[in-house]
Amino acid sequence: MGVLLCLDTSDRYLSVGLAKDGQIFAAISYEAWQKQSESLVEEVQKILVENHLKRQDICGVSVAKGPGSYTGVRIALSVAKTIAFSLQIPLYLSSSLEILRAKEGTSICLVNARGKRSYFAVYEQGKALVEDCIKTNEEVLFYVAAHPEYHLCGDVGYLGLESEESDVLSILAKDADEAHRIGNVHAARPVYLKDDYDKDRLRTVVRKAMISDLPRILEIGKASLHSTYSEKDLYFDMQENPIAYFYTALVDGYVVGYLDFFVTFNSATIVQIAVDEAYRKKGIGNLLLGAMIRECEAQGEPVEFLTLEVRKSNENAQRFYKKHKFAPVTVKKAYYDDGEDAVYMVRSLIHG
Amino acid sequence: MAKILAIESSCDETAVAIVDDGKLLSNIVATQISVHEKFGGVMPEIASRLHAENITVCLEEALTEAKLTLEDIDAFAVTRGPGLIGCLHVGLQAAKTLAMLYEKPLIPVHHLAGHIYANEYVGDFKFPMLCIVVSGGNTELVLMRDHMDFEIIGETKDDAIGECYDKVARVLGLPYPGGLPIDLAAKQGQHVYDLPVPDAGAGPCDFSYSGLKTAVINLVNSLRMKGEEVSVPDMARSFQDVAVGMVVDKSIRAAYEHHVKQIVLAGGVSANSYLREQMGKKLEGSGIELIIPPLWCTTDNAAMIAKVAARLYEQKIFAPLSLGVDPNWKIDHWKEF
Amino acid sequence: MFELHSDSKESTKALGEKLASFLRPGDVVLLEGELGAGKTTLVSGVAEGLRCGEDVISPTFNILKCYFKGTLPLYHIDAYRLEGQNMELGLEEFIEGDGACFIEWPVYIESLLPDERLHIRLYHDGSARRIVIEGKGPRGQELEEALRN
Repeated sequence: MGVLLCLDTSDRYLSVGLAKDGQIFAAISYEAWQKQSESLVEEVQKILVENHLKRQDICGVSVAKGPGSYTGVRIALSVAKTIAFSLQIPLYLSSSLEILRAKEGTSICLVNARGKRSYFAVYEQGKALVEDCIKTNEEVLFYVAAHPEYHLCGDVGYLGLESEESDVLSILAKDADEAHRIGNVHAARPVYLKDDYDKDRLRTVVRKAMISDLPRILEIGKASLHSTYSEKDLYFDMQENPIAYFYTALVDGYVVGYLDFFVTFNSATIVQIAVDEAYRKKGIGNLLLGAMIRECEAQGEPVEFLTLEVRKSNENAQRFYKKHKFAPVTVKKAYYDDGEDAVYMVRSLIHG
Repeated sequence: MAKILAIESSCDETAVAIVDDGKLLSNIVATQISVHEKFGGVMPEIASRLHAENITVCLEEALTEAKLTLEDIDAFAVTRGPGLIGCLHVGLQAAKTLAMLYEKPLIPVHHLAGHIYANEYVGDFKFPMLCIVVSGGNTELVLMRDHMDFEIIGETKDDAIGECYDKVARVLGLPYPGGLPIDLAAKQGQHVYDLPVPDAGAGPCDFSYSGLKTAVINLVNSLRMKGEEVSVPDMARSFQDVAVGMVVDKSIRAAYEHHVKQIVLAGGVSANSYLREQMGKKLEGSGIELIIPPLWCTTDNAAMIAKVAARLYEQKIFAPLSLGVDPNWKIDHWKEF
Repeated sequence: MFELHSDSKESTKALGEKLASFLRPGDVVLLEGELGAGKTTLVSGVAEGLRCGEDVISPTFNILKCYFKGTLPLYHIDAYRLEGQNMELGLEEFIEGDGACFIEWPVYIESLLPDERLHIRLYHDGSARRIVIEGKGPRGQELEEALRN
């Protein structure tokens, strides 16, 4: 049986530990503000070497996911994600507040959020009485005064308070269970809390399609366009067709939409655009169209027109295109295999 | 026969590439441009977040496309600067982690050296060579007398040219990034607005774009205040003439002064058609060869990082696992890390 | 609050160098003034004073530029692009960090600013500059006094 690697750089400290059967047997922890980026990987290597361990001996990674210092949280999480992905081993994410809790009883867990605020949560073993949130320091002090029976955990000198020692590594080791495990390592992402803008839109990435996207593209196309394209057709446009461009939109590394278009001389034609029903009305179509326009602008010979055909009955789609400055030009009679007409729409990219 | 995996995350593209003995096996770029568009520029914190989200997906894709596993890789390379600090951290952690796990060398690469060496995908270098490095965050003239020998002979004293394009685009109501929209609009305009050619004061090869940006903003505002309409194509053309003209003039002068055999363009702004055209024209019959990077190399990617890394691998220039990032790393200090 | 006059880039820079000698970790200096008033020039003087050994260039593109090689980390923020965005970008880690933080266009990140701070306002006065210095809170006033003398 292998060892579990535990990592935390979510606040001022750098902590690395090795655990077996839920018990930490080797640990390093010290204050490393602004030095975590340089030191973390080196410390992981050191602790592995000192304990005569190789990569094959690591059977899981448990890491603090925030809230805390944005940069700090990302450092440990990037390392943990890379290890879990490389070695194909489980990744466990715990709240940076949760891991501060005392071994027994109820704990108020705090991390300095700066700007006169704190990350705040109240944990009893295994469950949150108050979920991770952000409070003004004033509110926190009020809460602390009202609950003298609770343990006070975290680096709370900034509040003029004294806290109990936390043992974050032991808790990271203990909490490495199914409830904390993240099935899709790619989707592991820090918790920032402060962000009112970390909405769906920002988790969406549009990039050139990759072969591994194919199964999902096929699924989305069938469900939303009744597309008859086979995997082979899609593969051709993605990899071989010299005039085709293929983009995918992903949320958390999960394919939720795609756009396939052709560029010929001065015009670009949308072949297929589709977004998974569960992800519609979140601006994903906009992002895909945006990628297309940029691709057109980057052509050696500038593209002047975007064109497309849309089913006459598909009024939602026509509204979407009108919003994006496409104008209906003509109706193509019996354009589709089933006899339905198509509306031919065009948008000019020429300035002025 | 070394297989090198390179990671680039200095700005708004998460990229991973694998080369084998100079041959590009895969080149994955997850662009974030659509996200930053609405902010009129890259938002560093958001960019850092997206890097952290995309990094392992990109690694997986690069390996799948190259039909390799991590055990096959001989060295891991990473951009350690210059760039946005939070963004650089993410790529660095990934590269260091891989180097540690697989006990392979870690190669630190300078981002702008990458942009310059992207041109090696097009042709061989001949020295002395002048590199015109123009991007959102950089404007430099770099003289190379040999491989990996960089001397900065001129640079911007305030804003970078790409930043200036983005700001002018914003004032003119054109989308972000401003390079292509201004370039396209300028094609339909005339140079009718009088804009001053900024004087950088210091060296003859130094640049200043802050003054030009202010001049455009002031002119647009005063015209609008007078109720006069501002012609976007004409303003774009007038601006581009001055902005690009400054790069062209100073580069040509430097090229003759240093008797260079070649000039290469590098960085995002090198996609600008007017810059390409003007450089081509001015060098006609001069005997100086112009190398223009392929368009895919003008945006950030890891293929160019891998290109430099392959050279460093030969010279055994490796970094310890305590490597940190340097957001202000100067190209002539690329050996100091 | 007091006023200074600067008749050249050099003297604006010298003011920055002088300020550098009084700076401590956690100090925040707000820089206000129009484009071209000399905000970045002043910071480059600070960088020289702290012996950062690097040229200070506009942070507008990056929003945040960090200089770690001097006697004190120097953070230079330009919030110009954050106008109307109403979002948090982790800048607090630098504003309340281990170095001195200079902020251009602070109005756009008002909610992140500490109570104790030094304001420096630069106004065009022909080709010269009028510079108004005002400290807020005990530490801000301490810096103001130090510069006055």
